[in-house]
Amino acid sequence: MEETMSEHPNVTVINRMTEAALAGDKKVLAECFTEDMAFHVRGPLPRVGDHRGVEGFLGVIGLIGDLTAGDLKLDQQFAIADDGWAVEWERARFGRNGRTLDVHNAFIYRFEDGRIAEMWMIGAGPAGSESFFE
Amino acid sequence: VGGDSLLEKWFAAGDAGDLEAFDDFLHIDVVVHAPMGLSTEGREAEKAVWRDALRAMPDISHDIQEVVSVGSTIAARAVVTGTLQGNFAGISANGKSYDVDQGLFAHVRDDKIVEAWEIVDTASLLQQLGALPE
Repeated sequence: MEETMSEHPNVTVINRMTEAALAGDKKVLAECFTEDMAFHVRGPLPRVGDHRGVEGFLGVIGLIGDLTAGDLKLDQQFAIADDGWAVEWERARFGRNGRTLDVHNAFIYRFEDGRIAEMWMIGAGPAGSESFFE
Repeated sequence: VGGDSLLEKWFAAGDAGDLEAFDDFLHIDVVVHAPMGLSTEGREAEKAVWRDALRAMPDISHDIQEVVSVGSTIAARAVVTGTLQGNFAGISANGKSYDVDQGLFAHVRDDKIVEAWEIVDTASLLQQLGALPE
């Protein structure tokens, strides 16, 4: 999937949001999200379900950070966008209690006025990954 | 049936049981990466997986919600529904229905998909089908 493309502004927002998420930077996240941003979490991840806003987002991402004690590695495979939607594919490696989980995460983003208004995080891991964060 | 993208055409044809139409959308040597041991190499192998899927889940449906296409890459989010009426992917028939999110990525060459990745919320799928280990 290697391909050289000029970066769409919505991809720039995604990358800025990801950096802010890892840093726990609420100010930047608030700039990247609409106020009532909807966050849909699917897969072998904690707090599967639907969440709202910066606090709802950080409630999930922060918990992943806590449960892994920061032992996580994200590797973006690619991100593409048009003016209304964007899609990102990421490989993630989580470490927890001596175990390792490698998952593929698909992110789908809906944009409103240059901000993320809705996002889906769909994780897929190997058999048995469902219990990793329990 | 389905939208304009190769991903939409491929899955619409599959859901409809028109597997010969895959010849128009998939490269003969297409590689499909899928969970639950369903990855395939080659168009005929992909048809065989769909044939098994349709036999086990005659009502299987991939409702593609959004598509982003940039250069030779297509990505989409789909909602997959079905009812397990026959054995499939190591799960015994149980008459249970499911509804899960799926991320799809495809790489295109010469107007046909040459490689595709299906990122499925298998955690939810297995839970809905009652197939998670106790």
